[in-house]
Amino acid sequence: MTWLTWRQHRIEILIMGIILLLFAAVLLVTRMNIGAASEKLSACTSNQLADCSAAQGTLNNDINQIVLNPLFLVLSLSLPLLAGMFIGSYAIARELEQGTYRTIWTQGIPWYRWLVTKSSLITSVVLCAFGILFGLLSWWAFSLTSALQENGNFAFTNRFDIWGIVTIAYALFALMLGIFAGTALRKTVPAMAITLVIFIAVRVLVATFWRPYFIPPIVVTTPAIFSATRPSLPPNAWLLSNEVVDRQGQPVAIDGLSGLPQVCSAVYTSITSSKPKGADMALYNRCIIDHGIQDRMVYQPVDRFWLFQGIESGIYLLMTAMLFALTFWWTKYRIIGA
Amino acid sequence: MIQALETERLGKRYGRKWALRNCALRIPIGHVTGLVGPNGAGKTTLLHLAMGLLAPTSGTVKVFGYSPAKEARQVLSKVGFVAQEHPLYKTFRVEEMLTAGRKLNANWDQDLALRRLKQVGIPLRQRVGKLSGGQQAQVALIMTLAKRPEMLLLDEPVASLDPLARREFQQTLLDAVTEDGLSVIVSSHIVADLERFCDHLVILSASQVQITADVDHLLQSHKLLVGPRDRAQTRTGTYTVVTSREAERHCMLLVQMHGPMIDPAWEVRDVSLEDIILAYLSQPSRGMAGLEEKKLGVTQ
Repeated sequence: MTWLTWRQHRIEILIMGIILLLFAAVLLVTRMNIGAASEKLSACTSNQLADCSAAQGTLNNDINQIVLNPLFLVLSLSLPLLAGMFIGSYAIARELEQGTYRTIWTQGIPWYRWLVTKSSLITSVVLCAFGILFGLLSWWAFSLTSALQENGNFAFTNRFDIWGIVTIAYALFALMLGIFAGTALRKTVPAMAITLVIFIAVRVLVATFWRPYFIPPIVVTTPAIFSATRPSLPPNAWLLSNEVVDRQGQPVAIDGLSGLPQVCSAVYTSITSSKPKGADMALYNRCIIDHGIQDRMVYQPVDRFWLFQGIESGIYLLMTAMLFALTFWWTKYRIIGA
Repeated sequence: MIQALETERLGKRYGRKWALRNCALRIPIGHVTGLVGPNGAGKTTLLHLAMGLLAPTSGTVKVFGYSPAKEARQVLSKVGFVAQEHPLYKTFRVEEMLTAGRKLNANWDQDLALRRLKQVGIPLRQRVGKLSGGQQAQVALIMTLAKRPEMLLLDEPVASLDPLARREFQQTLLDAVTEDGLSVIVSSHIVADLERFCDHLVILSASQVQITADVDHLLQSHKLLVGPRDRAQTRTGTYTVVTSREAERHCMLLVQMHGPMIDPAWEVRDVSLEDIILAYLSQPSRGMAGLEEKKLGVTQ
């Protein structure tokens, strides 16, 4: 079974290996550049009088070249999907489409052994590949943590989907999705198409509607009165919302001109028309407090990064396991029809 | 006694349509059995049920006493199967197909496979997709022979082959059967193919088994009667009519004889196996009425 699986999928595995090598090469070269730039910067900063903006600029440039590179982004985001489409869907759908399953299932081992062995073999290969990929990226990124942090890159928003351990879970999910789609549709091209659509849909839905609330976010409210000091967002935190709300937590309408809540319009016209006096401001503040109007900031702090990575990986691994169970069920009850 | 293939009230339904219904069969070990019937009669379904590629909707199927669904390993180790269109991996070389077979089967006989391939002149280094249809069918057959099975199930193995390739395929099959005493069940909708080497026959039509019988017995017991039209009867003590064709004064009856024909008005002629099969296929209900159950294992 191992030999057969390798023989059937060696081309896909080889292509995956080549992509991985290219990735490694790019990371190696850029890491060397960044290392050099980083050394220059630290040499410069040790001299307290020197102007280090040029050295800082070079370093930022080198980092952004890769971190913000659209090709790098697209490739990193789509690699799991490619594994699902070209290894997962292909592996099962082609056997069912071309009828070769009738030959293979009637050799010495029954269909369920075939399904379990084949699925786990290609899962291991993909796991290894994305494990290596994650290792490379970690080596690249986390040795530069301080440089990235200063640059504002060590954050949920632009790091979570690419640089974390979730990439591995995405890949396994995409792979099993492809295997299931191939089993259910029995045709290679439709199975690839449906894998693409469902994978993107699930990724977008989880990232948009679920991820922000894995753990209740931190909510900071301050009365929206003059002279209130609002706490600032901690560095690299993931800001979910920053609004002016009423007592019920509903966002209040904001006057376009003054940028202040409309409910207290009666008083703020006097504030804007002339130089605000202490009495006017007191009136306005009174109105705000009466209506319970607050500034509300909702965010996830950056120290939850790895916890969130773990939760999201768990969700995708659970879905992977469920898809495998579904594939087994489908084969037994829909293809063989027990 | 353990049968090579035994089914009881076996049925398979796809949605609302029954592909096979109330199938009761008993095929003893050591026979070469032809499974005949028009396209869509349920031949493929029956063979897939026997191999565990499908599970029955109703009834049971046993192969050498084992259930293909629950005791898959036992069945797979005893039975070799060549599916319709003999699907193989087209990008594999012939030797790689053999490697796959060796890795997947416990009793794989590599020498046998190599010897047979050499006999039919198929190069090991060739890609399967580059072989002719006949050669691909040979590779598929040789792969099942190398499993060292006790029985072969072949689903329309020669349907897509030209006459020469057909003959060569049958030669390989016959060699194997005579050498190893294999049981064989081979489906076909071409009767002439079966006549050459089958000693047992199952006729499937309209998702049901029409008759199962010995070929020799079928040939001996079925005659064509030519005689006066006004004396034709559908059933007498001596014969049962399967089909009849009437001319102006004469009529021809294809009958199953129950005893010797004494009436001198009737001329008795031999019929070919093909005529008998076609007669039963054109009269789907006569088979069940026509043959005695005890002797021939008639169904239903």
